[in-house]
Amino acid sequence: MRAADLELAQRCRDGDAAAFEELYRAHAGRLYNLLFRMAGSAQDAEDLLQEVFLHAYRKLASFRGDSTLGTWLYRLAVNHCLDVLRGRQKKMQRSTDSLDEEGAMEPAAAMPVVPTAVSRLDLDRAIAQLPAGCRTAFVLHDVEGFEHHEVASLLGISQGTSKSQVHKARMKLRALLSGAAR
Amino acid sequence: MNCHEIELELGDYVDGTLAPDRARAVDAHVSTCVRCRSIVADFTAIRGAARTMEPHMPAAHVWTQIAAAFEQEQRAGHPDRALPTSWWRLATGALAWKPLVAAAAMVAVLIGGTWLAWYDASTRAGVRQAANAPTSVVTGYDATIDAEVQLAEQHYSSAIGDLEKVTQAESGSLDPETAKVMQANLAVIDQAIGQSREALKSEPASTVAQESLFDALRSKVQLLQDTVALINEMRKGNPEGAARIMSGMSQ
Repeated sequence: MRAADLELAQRCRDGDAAAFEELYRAHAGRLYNLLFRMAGSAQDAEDLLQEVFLHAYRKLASFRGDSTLGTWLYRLAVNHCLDVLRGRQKKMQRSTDSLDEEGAMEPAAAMPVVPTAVSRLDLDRAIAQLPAGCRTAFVLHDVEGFEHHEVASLLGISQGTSKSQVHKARMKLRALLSGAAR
Repeated sequence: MNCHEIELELGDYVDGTLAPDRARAVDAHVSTCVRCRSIVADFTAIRGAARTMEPHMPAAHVWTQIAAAFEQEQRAGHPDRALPTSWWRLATGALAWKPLVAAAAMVAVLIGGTWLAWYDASTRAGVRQAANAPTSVVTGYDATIDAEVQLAEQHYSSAIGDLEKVTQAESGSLDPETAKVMQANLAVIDQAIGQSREALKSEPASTVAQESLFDALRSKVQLLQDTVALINEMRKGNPEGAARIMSGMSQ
């Protein structure tokens, strides 16, 4: 796998169009899905996907095969998207939602409030309303299926912060979905 | 053990990653606490739904845009080599089909599409700014916004015109059934464009009407771009590529 990845990366660097398309076809779906959920809209996800692939092309020389090409691209996409989201956050002077901030807990209802069969559309909408920091941790952990130590490594945060961000996201989703169910 | 002490462990409990002794402690608490039991039930529902969400897939035109941007990147000399001979031809199918005309039209359309995306975003931002501004400022904005909206519409129309020339000239490459579906979709979008223009005529300051018009124009650009991409795949004799595009268009 690593040898094949290294060969594909080299062909892309050599300007082989078919190789670059092969790279795109193999990884665009997973990356777009991640970017869509992290950014919250199709337009943003499309722009980000384009930037990620161009960025990857420029950085392919640094791919040494220590991980798979898919993992390398995934990490690149997460970091690029976070940079963009943080930039926007800074621009909008929203200093209340950094990744390491301990968010205020939503008040907990005494009875279950989320429908057992949550509509995927409702969940998509609710995820898009989460603050960027906890949305990213939630998407990586609950949607993409990474363990907390992997989320921590991808985001450059502690495992405890990953847990608290996912918890914060779930509590907020609980409140948002209880509204959607009414 | 109280709720405050246990709340952050409920996530690990639902994920099944708590150490056995902690899991037993949480079990005992949850069995007697309605509040924490409700959180566990809701977290379980959210986690289950999140794991089974339908994946979002990129539309067909995204690859076309990336291919064009890559081409430009290479022309600019990134990372350290000359333009490869095969890239642009592969992206446009130009080896098999009117190379210069097709490539020129695609370049114009793709550059126009990128510019329009930027222009549309900045126009919308301006419109929103105006909507939130005090009345006296809005009055000053009106003429500018109107001119910008007209300019943006002109550029959309120009891009649409370029794309229509390509799709009309090469419509024979599509099978009749597909061409019929495309025409039907275009008719629906054209109707939406007409209605939006009418609405904008009667209420020129309406941001809803402006956004509706831009949405409809953008949909038309996207459909035509996808059609060009589909024609290219068919001319290349690549049924898999064509199927991928059709699948993207139906989403």
